[in-house]
Amino acid sequence: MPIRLYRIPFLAIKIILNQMEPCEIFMFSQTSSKARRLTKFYKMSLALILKGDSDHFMFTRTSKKPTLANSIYLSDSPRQYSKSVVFDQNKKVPCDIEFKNNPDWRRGDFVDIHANCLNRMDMRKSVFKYFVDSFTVRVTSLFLSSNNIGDRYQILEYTKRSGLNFQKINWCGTCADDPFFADVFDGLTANFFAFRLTRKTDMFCHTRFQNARVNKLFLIGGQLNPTANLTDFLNCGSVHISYHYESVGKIPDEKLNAFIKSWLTSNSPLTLLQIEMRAPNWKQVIKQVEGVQKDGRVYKLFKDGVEAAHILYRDKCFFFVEKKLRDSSDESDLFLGCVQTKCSLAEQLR
Amino acid sequence: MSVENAPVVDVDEAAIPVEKKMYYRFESNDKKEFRVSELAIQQSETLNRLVEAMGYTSEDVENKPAIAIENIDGKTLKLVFQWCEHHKGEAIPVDDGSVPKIVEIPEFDAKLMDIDNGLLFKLIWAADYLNIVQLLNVSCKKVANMAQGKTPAQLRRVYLLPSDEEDEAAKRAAQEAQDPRAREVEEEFEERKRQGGNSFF
Repeated sequence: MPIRLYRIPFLAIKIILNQMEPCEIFMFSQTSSKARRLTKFYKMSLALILKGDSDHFMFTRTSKKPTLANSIYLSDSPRQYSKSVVFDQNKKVPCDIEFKNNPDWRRGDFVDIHANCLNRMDMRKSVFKYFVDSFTVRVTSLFLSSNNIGDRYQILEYTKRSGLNFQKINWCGTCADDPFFADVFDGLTANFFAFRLTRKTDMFCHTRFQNARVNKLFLIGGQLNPTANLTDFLNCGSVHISYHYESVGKIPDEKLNAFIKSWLTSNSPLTLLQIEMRAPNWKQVIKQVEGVQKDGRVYKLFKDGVEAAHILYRDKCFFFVEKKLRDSSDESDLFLGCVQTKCSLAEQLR
Repeated sequence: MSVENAPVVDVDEAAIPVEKKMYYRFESNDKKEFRVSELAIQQSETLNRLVEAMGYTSEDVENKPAIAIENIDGKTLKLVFQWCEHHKGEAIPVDDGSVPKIVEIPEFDAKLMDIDNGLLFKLIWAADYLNIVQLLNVSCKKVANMAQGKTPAQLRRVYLLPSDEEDEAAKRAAQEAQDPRAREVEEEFEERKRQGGNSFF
């Protein structure tokens, strides 16, 4: 005998929905727009993995505890689909739904949905819109490893929309050398981790960073635009730039000098700048910077008479560190060398 | 303690308890009377406040009429009081706002709720009305468990969820029921359109 859910008191419905697993709440949201108004308070985390031949959305409950990831695979390959799923405009999309169970978990239910689509980009936007409209969604990460430039560009532009609340974008591999990507950082606020670990690349050689508002920016294994100035990063929180081993990259001392002067005269939120490079010529770097004190291998910078930041060269990297950050951080964490940074980044991306 | 042994007693069936604790008398909307211990009542915020406000002595409890609970029938109230007696003295969970809510259904509760969905529905209403937090949690958990491994179409059947089209039709019907003249005007308009009239007015 069924139970008439909507006749149950609202408080109890809320409790029922809170006790459901993310895969069940997703299925519930599929039943009608009235159901979606109810699921709107449910906090869901969403991630998108963009690969060359397939797209993979993962959704879990926003929780500190690890939960099993549910998946939506978008595919344009011909296949027999027995069910349908609705993402946008009430259009039914053919799909297959596979419920799975992991006995190692206390309640190990999760779901794989294989949805058929002809226009992948439209479908991605529909899925994002569906989650934003149906749940309190937090997009935890976007993993871009597709070689399709158009895909990457469109999806990055899409991340700037309000309501998506992107937390982190992982950029894997090459192809950001296209002039398309010159303005991709304009207004971008999500943490950005770009890496190319296998070979030399011109990644981001055309990109401008003046309007980037990124809290954490990692550019590993790429080559910066030669005309880029370090002052472009002044609106970011922390920046890590690491060239590939084969590269002979070095930021000119004049640019380091200009960056230090700009930072001291501005209210920049930048607290850490790490650049893998050959050792700088310190005389040039601190030229005309007032009140610099050398303490061992560290140069102390002063702002209005107060010690404000340190610059130093360590583990093949140039470091600019705000004094407050250095005081409050573990030294070994703060001064990760380039190899360690790459390793820890690779760890994060897994 | 099994469901059968729970100390909720219908007045006409069982002997008066020998313990010196105070037992309150409640009456369901179908005139069934129950004796419930003071400690068990504490599980229900609503009843607890009610008996506190009444300030009954043990003599009052015996001499005055049973406290009427008008919204709940005897069958449901029996389940509620059985639950309260079994869990008496247990701490009442405080909602800390954490999500997800991890709720385990204890064996006793599972047996108690081995009932048809109609009665489960009434039990949830009663738990909500009487503000019995933990009973509401476990009964809701049972309803939430019904969604396990269900597709949207199956969920519609399990929870009797209307589709958008059905919702729309119900809304229209409700509007028409509220204003029959609107329906008449609409029909008249359609009729004139069919007859090729240029203007309704």
